[in-house]
Amino acid sequence: MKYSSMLLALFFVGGVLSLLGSLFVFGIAEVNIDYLFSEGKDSGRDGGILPILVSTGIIWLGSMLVSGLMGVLIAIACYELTFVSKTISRIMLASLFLIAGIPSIVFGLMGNEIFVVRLDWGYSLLAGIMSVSMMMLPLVALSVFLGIKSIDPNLIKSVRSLSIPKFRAYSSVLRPAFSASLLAGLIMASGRILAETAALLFTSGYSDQMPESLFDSGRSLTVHIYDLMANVTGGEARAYAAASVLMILIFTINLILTKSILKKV
Amino acid sequence: MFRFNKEDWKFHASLALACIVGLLVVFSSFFVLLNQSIQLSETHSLFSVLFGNDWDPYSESYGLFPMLVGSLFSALGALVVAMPIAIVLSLYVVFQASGLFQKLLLVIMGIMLAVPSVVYGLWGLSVFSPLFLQLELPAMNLSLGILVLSLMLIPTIMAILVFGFRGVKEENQKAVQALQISDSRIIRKLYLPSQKRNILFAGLLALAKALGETMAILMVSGNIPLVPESLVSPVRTLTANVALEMAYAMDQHRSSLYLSGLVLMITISVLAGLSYFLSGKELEGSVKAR
Repeated sequence: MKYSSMLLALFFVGGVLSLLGSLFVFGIAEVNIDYLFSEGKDSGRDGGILPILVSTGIIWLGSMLVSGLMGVLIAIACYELTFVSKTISRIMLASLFLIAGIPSIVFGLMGNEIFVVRLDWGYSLLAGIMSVSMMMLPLVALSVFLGIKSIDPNLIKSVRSLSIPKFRAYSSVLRPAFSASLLAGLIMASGRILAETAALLFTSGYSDQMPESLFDSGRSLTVHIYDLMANVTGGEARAYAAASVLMILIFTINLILTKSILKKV
Repeated sequence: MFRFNKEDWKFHASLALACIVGLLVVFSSFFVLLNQSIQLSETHSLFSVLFGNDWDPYSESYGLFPMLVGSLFSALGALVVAMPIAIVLSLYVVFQASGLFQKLLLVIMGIMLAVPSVVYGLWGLSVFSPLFLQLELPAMNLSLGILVLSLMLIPTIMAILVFGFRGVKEENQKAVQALQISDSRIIRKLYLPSQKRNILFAGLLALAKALGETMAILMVSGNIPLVPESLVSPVRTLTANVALEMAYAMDQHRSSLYLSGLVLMITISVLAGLSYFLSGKELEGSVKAR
């Protein structure tokens, strides 16, 4: 039994490594400074991906800010509500859990109807940011909530008995205790924001021009990969190049954030 | 315990504001889905849409049945393939692998969780579909979809199971060592049965993820809106249907796509609800696996 499962594990490792390897071997040959810092030509077959990188960055930054801020506030609210009524806080947690399960394409549908059509923002980066942050909110909020819950109860008791104003309590006394779990939530969210495709297809749109404001359409790297594979004949090599850039981006950001979490703990 | 201090009103107001905005967005999203779906029911009966076999937007017939079947087949198929592999792998990682190899396996699990679904689709399309072409089968089909989906589910299930198995290992390690019971026996008699609930939980979560998966399955499964006849015939899933036609859908056509979104959301909410009641203390592991 031991050896058969080891064989399976070896097979698994070999398969995944060869897939990753093939991605980088095919992709990285196309990637150079020129590719990263010039605009695309001929619907992506030629030229670079600078506008796409910029849109991806804007979507990433915006969604991290919105979902981080809202996530912390909602997590603290959930925690504070446990002192008022356990049921209300439990219902809120359950609904967060429920939202975390909704597939991204459904967020794309909702975002399209609410932000693009009803609020009349059109296909825009802002609509994309809002739809993606809706998706990431439960991830961050649940993570922060678990962090606050695991704070030493004595610390919370002493904060309460000293009757420190709550904003100060959370921003200075309790923050170091849950900032690690906030960062963990943000790390998960950051990877998933960069990986998000379906929710962005109908919210931030396809335009591969340089976005000039938040209300401009701009495609993310993932949408670019999909578009090259699905709609552009002969785009495969370029799709591989974009995919290897995306993977490098995800791993670097993940690594940097993980380093900072290790410093905190 | 709870005391409302007057100087805290700004703090409480900002919390309340965040909650209200969150609730507003969530409820308006549900409302939007429902509202659009109801518009379709003015001209088409729900039954004819959900169980109609004919998807042809140009002649206004919106039968979602082939897509329902496609989604269900590919998700269940992927679960059947991924579940045993993930169970064996996570048992191996926790109980038998050691040192560097164990670390390598866990790192690879993490990497696979981080790979975007569109990249899985890219792999499926450029690595596996030429193989199908060589066998003179359709290049994009149901079994390719199942293959790619199961590749995505393995790390999801593993992440939850490794978390659970580690717990029981720590609890029982000393007793097991003292009694000198063989590995395979202790796994069969103690570790697997103790994790029954966790395995079910992981399965439900994975099924929900598979049903909601869009990009990978859109790229590799062929997208022909017919009920699949065999494992190698092309299929279209509910999610792929939305992604393909949303860009140019109008009026009733658009409503039918929102209806399929609603169906997806209800199915997945039921699965998520079930898994929420199963989870309890495994909540932490489940948040990570997503």
